[in-house]
Amino acid sequence: MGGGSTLVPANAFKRGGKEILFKYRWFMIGADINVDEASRIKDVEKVNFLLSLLGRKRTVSTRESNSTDYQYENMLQLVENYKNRINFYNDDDTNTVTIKDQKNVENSCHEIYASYVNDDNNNDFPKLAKREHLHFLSKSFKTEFPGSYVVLDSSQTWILYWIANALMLLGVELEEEKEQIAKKVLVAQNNQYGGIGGGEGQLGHIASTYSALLVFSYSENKDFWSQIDRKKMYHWMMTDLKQPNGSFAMHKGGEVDTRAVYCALTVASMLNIMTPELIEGTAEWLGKCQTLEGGFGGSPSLEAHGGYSFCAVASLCLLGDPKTMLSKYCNLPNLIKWSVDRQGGIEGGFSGRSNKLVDGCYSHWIGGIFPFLEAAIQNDNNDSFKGLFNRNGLSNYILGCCQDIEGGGLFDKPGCRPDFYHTNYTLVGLSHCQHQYSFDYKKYELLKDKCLDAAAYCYDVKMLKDDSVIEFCKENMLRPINPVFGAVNGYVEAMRQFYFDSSE
Amino acid sequence: MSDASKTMEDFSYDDVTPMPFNEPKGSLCRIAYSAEYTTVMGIIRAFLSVKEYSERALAATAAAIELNPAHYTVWSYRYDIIKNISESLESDTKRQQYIDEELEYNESVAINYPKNYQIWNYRELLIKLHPNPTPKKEFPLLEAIIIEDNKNYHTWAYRTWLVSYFNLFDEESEINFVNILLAKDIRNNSAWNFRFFLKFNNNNRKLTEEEIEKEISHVKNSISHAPQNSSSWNYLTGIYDRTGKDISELEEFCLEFGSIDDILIEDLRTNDGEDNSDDVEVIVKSVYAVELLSNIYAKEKKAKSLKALEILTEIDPIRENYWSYKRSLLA
Repeated sequence: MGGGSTLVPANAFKRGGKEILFKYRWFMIGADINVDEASRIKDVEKVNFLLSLLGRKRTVSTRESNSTDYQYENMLQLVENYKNRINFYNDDDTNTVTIKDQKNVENSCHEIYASYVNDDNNNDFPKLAKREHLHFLSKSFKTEFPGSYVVLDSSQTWILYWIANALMLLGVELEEEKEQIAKKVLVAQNNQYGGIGGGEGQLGHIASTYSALLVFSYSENKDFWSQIDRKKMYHWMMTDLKQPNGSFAMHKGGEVDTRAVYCALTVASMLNIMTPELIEGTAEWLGKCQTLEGGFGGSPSLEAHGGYSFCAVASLCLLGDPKTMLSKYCNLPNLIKWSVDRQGGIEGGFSGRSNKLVDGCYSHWIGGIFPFLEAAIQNDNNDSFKGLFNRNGLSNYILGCCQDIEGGGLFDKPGCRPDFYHTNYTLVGLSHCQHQYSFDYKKYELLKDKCLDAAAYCYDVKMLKDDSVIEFCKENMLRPINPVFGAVNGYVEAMRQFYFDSSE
Repeated sequence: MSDASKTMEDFSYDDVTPMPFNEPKGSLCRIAYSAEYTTVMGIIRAFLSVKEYSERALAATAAAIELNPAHYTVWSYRYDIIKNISESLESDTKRQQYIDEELEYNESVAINYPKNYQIWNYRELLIKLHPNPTPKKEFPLLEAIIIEDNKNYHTWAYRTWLVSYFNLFDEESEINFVNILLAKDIRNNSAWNFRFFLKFNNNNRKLTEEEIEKEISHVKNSISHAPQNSSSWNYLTGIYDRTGKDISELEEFCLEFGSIDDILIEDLRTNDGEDNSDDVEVIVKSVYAVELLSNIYAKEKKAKSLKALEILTEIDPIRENYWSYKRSLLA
């Protein structure tokens, strides 16, 4: 588990040394750093402004009297699960490090849930601490990061996305930041070779490009949008990234995996530059990444993993309707089984792999697979939607075990410190809990011959109000996202429309 | 000759004008670079713009990597330098020596930053560039890292690539490595996955029926030791999926861990929070066994399959929606 990581002094690196100064555990970029206490500059004015936009005054609310309190019921169930769990782990010679770590996490989650369930003082149930999270995010947005953040130098567009996306999910409308976001993205564009890099003067990188374009859509400014060199982008993707086997590399000579495929497809879709040549062999290659367990690895033969699975499934569902794609290119029953198996019976949260620990970020990497799975098995005659995973359970994990209620921000698991990466992906996960996505097969039939990525724009979203599925609580509500892109619904669509119109 | 110990201090950069960063102060998420980082990156960007492939450029990339090991642009440039210089060397022996030294340098970074995405990809590129690569030389590093962090995804991915690239599927070293790790932790899913890869993903050789049976009895034995281990159950069903064998063969084996006919649902229900786990333990030893039984019975013995799903709803309630979905498929 471990707590926060220490900041890295510039000269701390020791060649050949054993000392590992900070942990890497961020899927997508493979780096991890926490906010330095000294850098916590209070931006009170900004926070008050944001709060006024949300119309919020208090942090914590009392339990609504008319509520059926399924949140409580679910937490009680998690607590009961703990008491009644079959003691699977008693065998001495199999009581390995996996079990020790697992028990530790189960115990710390159980302790939290039990404190609410058995509370005689009737303490408030954990709600989303929006005010604190806004504070955490907005101060980081505008404050210059200290020099130790240099390890994130090649992930600047990611930081921008995590913060802006989390703010947007919380309901904030960006104001003057829109222009700053667009400028930051354009500074990172590589005008020589194409693509967008992690920051100024860096090589184009498809993951940097993906995260940059998501926030770029939030800038809602056609003058800026027209400054992306789409021709160069396409050329770069075809010559430096596309592999003969249908997959993509992250950058010229870079790693080839399902992340790169996902980023390439979403980028091509957002910019409306997708061609049959670009996606040739891609779905087939993705299918080869499904493992014996049902999830997807980063590339063929690798272990099933939450992040790589999301990328593979979302990619397939960008290229066609979920029913067809998830049956044609992979084994859907195995994928469903592996995905539901990720949810911890005591913790409520998701793990990224078999026999690994739950982590708040998988609320999206695993949670984000379910919109596609639920759309693939959707039965239009059936009104009582239950979904495939336990939404109240995941919501309890996020609200009860991943929030820094005082300082704001969300994190991996109890005992950890918040960071932007986890703040964004736990919030996206909470949004998944609160919404139901269905695929508009009729709309898709009309669109599919007009563009190759039509499927990405055929999801309907509905706010869930059935407490037995997810307890409806107005204060916890987040905005819905487009499940393919992982961005707040509506913005990417508008930007793509702009590029679509300019291609005419 | 390259010398990994040579640093920027050993070269002159007086003729180089570092390329400045133009991003204005006050822009979002700006990092306050140290003077050292600004200079080093400025020099590298100046070199990049004129494609200088030299030993002093190499030293500059080492300095940058020391400050920021995740800088993919620097790694990519470093590779271009190594490729360029090694190709200019007059003999394979010299090229080999040159790339070996670079592998050593990379190893020292890998030990410090084992979860970095760039390092392993870079190593793969070097091996491909090497005139006479020896995969066995890679094992000590991989073992050192995996023993420290037994589920490190990148390291396993690299080992998987090595085995594919050099066709090491049947090497004793590989299966022994898996066995050692599984003996230490029977729930190491990365090791199980790697085992499956060794046994079933070898395009050059398919397992004989006898070998498949041996593998099945191996995993069954492992399940008997730790019945609630998802990794070994997934391995077992994975074999059946891959080889097209009929899972109904496994009915008897599964019943050892949950005799579903004898179970009364009421016995599984919670009584006012009373601890009844001892009772349950006697009758169900593995959720996965009951789940597999529900699949085995799904075709021809629907009542039994439903009973299994009913039991699962009681003993594994977090997946209630999934069990109910599976019930709907039986209707």
